[in-house]
Amino acid sequence: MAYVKYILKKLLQIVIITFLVSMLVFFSLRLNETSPLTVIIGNKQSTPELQQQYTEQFHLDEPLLRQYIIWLKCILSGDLGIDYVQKQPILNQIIDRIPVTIGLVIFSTILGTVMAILIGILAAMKRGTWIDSALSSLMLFLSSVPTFVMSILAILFLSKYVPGYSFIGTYSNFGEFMSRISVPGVIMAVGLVATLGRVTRSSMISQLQAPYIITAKAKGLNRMKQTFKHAFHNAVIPVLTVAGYMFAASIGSTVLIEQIFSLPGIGGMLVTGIQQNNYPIVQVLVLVMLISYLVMSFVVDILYAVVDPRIDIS
Amino acid sequence: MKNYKKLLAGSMALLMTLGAAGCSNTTGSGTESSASSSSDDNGLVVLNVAATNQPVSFDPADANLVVNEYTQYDCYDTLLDFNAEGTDVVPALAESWEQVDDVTYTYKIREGVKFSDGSDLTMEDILYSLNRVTEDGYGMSYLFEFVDHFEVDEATRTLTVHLTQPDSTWKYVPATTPCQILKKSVVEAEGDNYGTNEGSVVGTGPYKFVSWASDSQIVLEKNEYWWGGADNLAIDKINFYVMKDASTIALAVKSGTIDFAPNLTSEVMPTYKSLENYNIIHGFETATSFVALNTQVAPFDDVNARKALAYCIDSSLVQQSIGGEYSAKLDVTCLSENMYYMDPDKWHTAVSEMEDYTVQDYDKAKEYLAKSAYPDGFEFDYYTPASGVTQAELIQSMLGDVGITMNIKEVLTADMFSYLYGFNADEQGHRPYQAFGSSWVSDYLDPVGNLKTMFHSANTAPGCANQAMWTNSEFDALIDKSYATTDDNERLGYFIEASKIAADECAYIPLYAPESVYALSSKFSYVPSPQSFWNFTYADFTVNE
Repeated sequence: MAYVKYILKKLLQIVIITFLVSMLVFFSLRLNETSPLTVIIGNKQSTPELQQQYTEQFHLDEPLLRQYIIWLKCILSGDLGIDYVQKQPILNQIIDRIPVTIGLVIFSTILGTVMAILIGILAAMKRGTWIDSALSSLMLFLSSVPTFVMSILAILFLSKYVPGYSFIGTYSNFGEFMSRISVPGVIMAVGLVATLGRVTRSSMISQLQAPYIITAKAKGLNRMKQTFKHAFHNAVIPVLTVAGYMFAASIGSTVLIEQIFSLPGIGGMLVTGIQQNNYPIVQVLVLVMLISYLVMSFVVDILYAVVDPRIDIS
Repeated sequence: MKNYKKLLAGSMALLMTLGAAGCSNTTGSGTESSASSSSDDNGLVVLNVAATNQPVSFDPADANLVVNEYTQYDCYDTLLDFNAEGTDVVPALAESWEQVDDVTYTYKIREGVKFSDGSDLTMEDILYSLNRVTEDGYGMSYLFEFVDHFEVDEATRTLTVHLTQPDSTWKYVPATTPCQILKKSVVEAEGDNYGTNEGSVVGTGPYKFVSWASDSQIVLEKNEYWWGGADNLAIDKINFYVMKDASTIALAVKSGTIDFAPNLTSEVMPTYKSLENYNIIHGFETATSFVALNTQVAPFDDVNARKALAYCIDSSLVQQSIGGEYSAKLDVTCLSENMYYMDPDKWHTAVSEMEDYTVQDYDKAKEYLAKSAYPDGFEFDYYTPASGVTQAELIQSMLGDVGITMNIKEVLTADMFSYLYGFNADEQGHRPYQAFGSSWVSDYLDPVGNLKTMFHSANTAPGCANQAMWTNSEFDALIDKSYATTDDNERLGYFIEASKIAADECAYIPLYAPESVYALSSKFSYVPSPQSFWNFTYADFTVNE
């Protein structure tokens, strides 16, 4: 019962946060001096007839609060509306682009988590040796290099040493899809490794020093079994939690990386939307990213209890 | 799965190489090929092009971005084309034409022209396309200002244009993109979807639209039905990539992935300088960069105040620092050198007699300021898009101790058109800026393209680009006379006289004419024309053996 109550409480929180953010985004975009009409008309001749037509079509003559309510109603009924510049349904644009973003997030999270765990365990097992120092310094170094610097270095490297590699354009099959997202995905994973590796290391160290490991040692259990069967099992819980949150947060980091690698995902779409003052796109994408983040975090919370039965979520 | 294991095992540097090796195996066409030869696996000659943005649509009515040149233009044909020098028109869809009288022109349309879907081009399509862009609300309807109506005859394949008054610029209009011919039935059937990435594109041009993944890639292929002969086209397929970051484009060019990168700006030039196997191609079009002074409001309603500011600014220095290597300083006429084509010597003589306020001379600036309504100096707001802030700061630093104070106001790029075309004027019709760091691209090399648009009083209305809001009846009369005659010698006389008046009034402070700069793989050749912005075509590209 406590379980259900907790889930309901979390869901309610998601709804409230989404609602507040939708309001914040909608109204803060309207603080911008640029009139939506200017953006909609673009470089066409701004005749009174055209102004009238678009004003009616986009409800621009309504008070702001009413515009917000109209927009919210549409969103709730599943109609994401059309954008100001291309005047195309936003839903279709998102569907066209979401595979790249999801692909990036999943690929980088899986790759990053696996690498982080391996590196973290290695560092913990070799604690105090040169291997530990080298790995720890490497992780510290990687976590301090901004993603865009690493991306530009990667592109520089590829353009110089792998001239045949094409990181641009669209994809028509899974192989091409993977080739588009592999390098940016690896770069995103590196950011993950840096943080997650250190979490794994410290978590493993504390487990390896725990009394039950001393007991295991005393029982004559071999080193691998000590590490993997017992210590790792307990150490992995905080790691997976952090990984879950980072998975949710990486939706945000696709914005920059998609821009640099010219990937047709929703991050790039958001940047273009902001540059063009294409409010409907910015509003919807901020909500999409927010909801993805909230839902992911929610799932992590639930899973946390599943992985570790000691945790009483009520 | 194999790669996956390797990924886990390897170091970062190794990872990238592995990932990359995996990729060139899977992608095939257009990637490995571009590094060595110009043809891909299927023996097709592919040109890989990159730009930082994509067109709004492939509908000629939306064609107002530079990027349209490299995507949409080749899907359509115009009635006429500009010649390589950009000074005259040559046949295209119309094989011949005739000026019947002052206000009537006839065009004979080629027989046997087919659309990219294999259907025949009818006179009805031509009439429909022209009427469509002549209607109000279309950005370039001003080109058709003096059109009374169009008339077509299917039997003789003749288009007749009736003007309301003589218009010496009409001869160029059939070569402009608003005269790109569409297929009526397709446009009507698709409505608002036409030309978007959800709809289709049908034209008679040398290349046909194949696919468009928004914000990523546009593919064009040879149109086998092209009346000019698909076999005469050196390039079989064009991959146009949208790459948001100009430096990424530079790196892609460096790696050989991109063959053609248009519109290089001076910030990224250093990267291109070090390239091997690439040529930097450049040429002047009709772009000019200047400061527009709002002559309707204080302080620049006073010609002495305008000249005082002009004498503070060293245009040569602005040209060198902002325009860069591929630019030239402008004369007081605000016309680029190639617009003097009718008689360069006559123009140069005339310019030498005009007062040259493009040089920096603080003494003269002080002199004019003392004569002005603001002898103790004045303050003004200089509006600029984000891309012009460096230029604004440079100008600001040039004002010295003359007594003029300049405030920089940055406007959003999305708002540029409101300023340029006066859509944000107040109730009295006054535009909001006092000075505006701006530019203009003339429709033609014909000097009237700048003189009429930037200086004529008729163009102070909203939607028009007399950004200085300057009016002078004597000037207007001379330009109007130039419209009434097709004798270029006579017109030249009016232009020079008009330019003298305008230059003396200093409504604009001329800065520089920028060149268009392209990087092109040495596998290909291309010579840009001053009128590329109307008639750019991949059909002009050749493959070097």
